[in-house]
Amino acid sequence: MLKQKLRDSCLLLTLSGVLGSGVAYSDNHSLNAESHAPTTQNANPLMDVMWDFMREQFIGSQPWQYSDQVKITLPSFAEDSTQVPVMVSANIPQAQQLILFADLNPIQKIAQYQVQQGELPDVALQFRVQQATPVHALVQDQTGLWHVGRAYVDAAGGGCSAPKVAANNEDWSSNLGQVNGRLFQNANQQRLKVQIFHPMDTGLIDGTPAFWLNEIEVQNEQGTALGLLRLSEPVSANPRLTLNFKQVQNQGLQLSMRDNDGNHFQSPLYQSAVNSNALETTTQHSKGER
Amino acid sequence: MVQITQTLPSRVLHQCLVSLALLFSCSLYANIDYPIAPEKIAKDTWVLWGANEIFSAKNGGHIANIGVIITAEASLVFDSGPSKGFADALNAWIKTQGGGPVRYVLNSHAHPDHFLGNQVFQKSALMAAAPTRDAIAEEGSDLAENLYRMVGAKMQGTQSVTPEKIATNQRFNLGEHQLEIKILNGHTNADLVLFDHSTGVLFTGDLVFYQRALTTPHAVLKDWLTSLDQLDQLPYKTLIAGHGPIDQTRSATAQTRQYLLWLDKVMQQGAEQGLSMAEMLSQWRKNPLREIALSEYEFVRSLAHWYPAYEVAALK
Ligand SMILES: [Zn+2]
Repeated sequence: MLKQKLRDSCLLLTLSGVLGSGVAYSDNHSLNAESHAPTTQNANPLMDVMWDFMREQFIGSQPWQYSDQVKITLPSFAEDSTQVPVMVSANIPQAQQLILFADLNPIQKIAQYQVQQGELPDVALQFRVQQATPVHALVQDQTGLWHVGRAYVDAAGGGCSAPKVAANNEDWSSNLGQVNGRLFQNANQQRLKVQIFHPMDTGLIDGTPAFWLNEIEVQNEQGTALGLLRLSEPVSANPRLTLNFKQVQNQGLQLSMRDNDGNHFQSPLYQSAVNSNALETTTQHSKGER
Repeated sequence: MVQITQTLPSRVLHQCLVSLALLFSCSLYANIDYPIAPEKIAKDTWVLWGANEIFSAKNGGHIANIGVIITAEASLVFDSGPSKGFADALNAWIKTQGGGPVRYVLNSHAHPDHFLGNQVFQKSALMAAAPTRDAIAEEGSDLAENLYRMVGAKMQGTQSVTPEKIATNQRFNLGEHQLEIKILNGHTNADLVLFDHSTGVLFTGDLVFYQRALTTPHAVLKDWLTSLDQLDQLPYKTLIAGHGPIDQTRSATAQTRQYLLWLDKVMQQGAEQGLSMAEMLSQWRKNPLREIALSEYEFVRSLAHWYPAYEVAALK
């Protein structure tokens, strides 16, 4: 059944390519897709091609519903298929976890956030797309119900298997895991924005094994875990992550990170004043702690 | 206005039978129909206005303005267009004008809507700045392939041809026209402009976009601004932008500058506020020039090209 669906979707894509639509653009539609309500995407035949199958993979037979409260902000087309920006913000009280995936990517899952204490932050990052694809965000509330938002990004494709131009020139070992970060403190929200040096190799390119940052624990100043962000291979190289906590709970936030090769990076982020200040980045790197 | 229609010769149709994929496209588009409509804008000087759109099957990729100067002695083409079909139509029209042979085909820069008609003209006529020549040699075929994907059948038979002659800052005569080539940069690493001292017409290539949002895939802000200043030094009367309508009031460079400075400002402010790239997508609405063509579309593209660097700078 999966194979049949994949074939169908490939056929559709091939035809659209031959007809020269390429990356489609229409003046009538907003390019800034903040869509989630099913009605806005009903015209898109690719929207549901994989949905039943993917949903089963991620949440089995648990209850779900489409929800306007799960907002995905995504461009309608990918200018750079290796760096597609996305932000998910969910207005679900006492949300337990978030799953974000791109249906038609060879590796569908992009990220998962599990709340350990406190709240589900808004999550923004960049990811790779292999072709035009629906993107789904699933947020589970405390009753176990999944709230589903969806959007669609058009793409010429190849982002997952395109070799990075700089791949051979960069010396990852010297700055692997290095973090540049900054806390943005507003009256009613706290935002952590970081860039982490990591190649995030998907393993889909010949000769380059999968090597990616897979676990980021978000901690408060006291080291209490607020949540666990699991990244998957499609997240773009040198991930730039934005975590937006709607309520200010504490002054500091810090990250404890691991990659699939057993590297562990601890990054305490000091904030020296109240308003958006650059953070000291004294990342500690230890190998093979797992 | 003259309309020329190029029809595919039957041997091309035969070629198509070889490939199943092409068979499909050929059965849909047995004719390559490139209606061209040159407009005379000064003595001996014509412009083929590109559609103020993105690449599509309908516009056949002809979205950039193409300039032609026709004299009895020889003729000049400023940018050769997006495809063989387009350039065939252009070349056929030039012949109907009774001018001299096309001695110069200038490629303003290495973007596909500006040089993929090269193959139609004599190789010895093709001229570009050295970095443009190198970029066409390296990426021309990939760019042609990309354009095939977006434009489809009207690209039939198009192949990238690298210019042989290197253009530098130079003056030369074409009939009675005293022409000057300047090599600037900023839109790409080399942007050739042509100034006709005799008519006051300035062909800027993509250093100037007018009433149409500019594109930044290879742009360097500081260089681009410097080049605009240099254009302003020239005593031109008529400016033909790479994209957009004629400018006879010397307003187009100012608009391009305003747009660039706004891009810089909005990205710097966004990065300082900690906005994610996704949150930046809606910022095009704040652009005072948001009413010009493609302002949302090109802003989404420019974000991808430029915003990561602003974000990283704001984290340091
Ligand atoms: Zn250009």
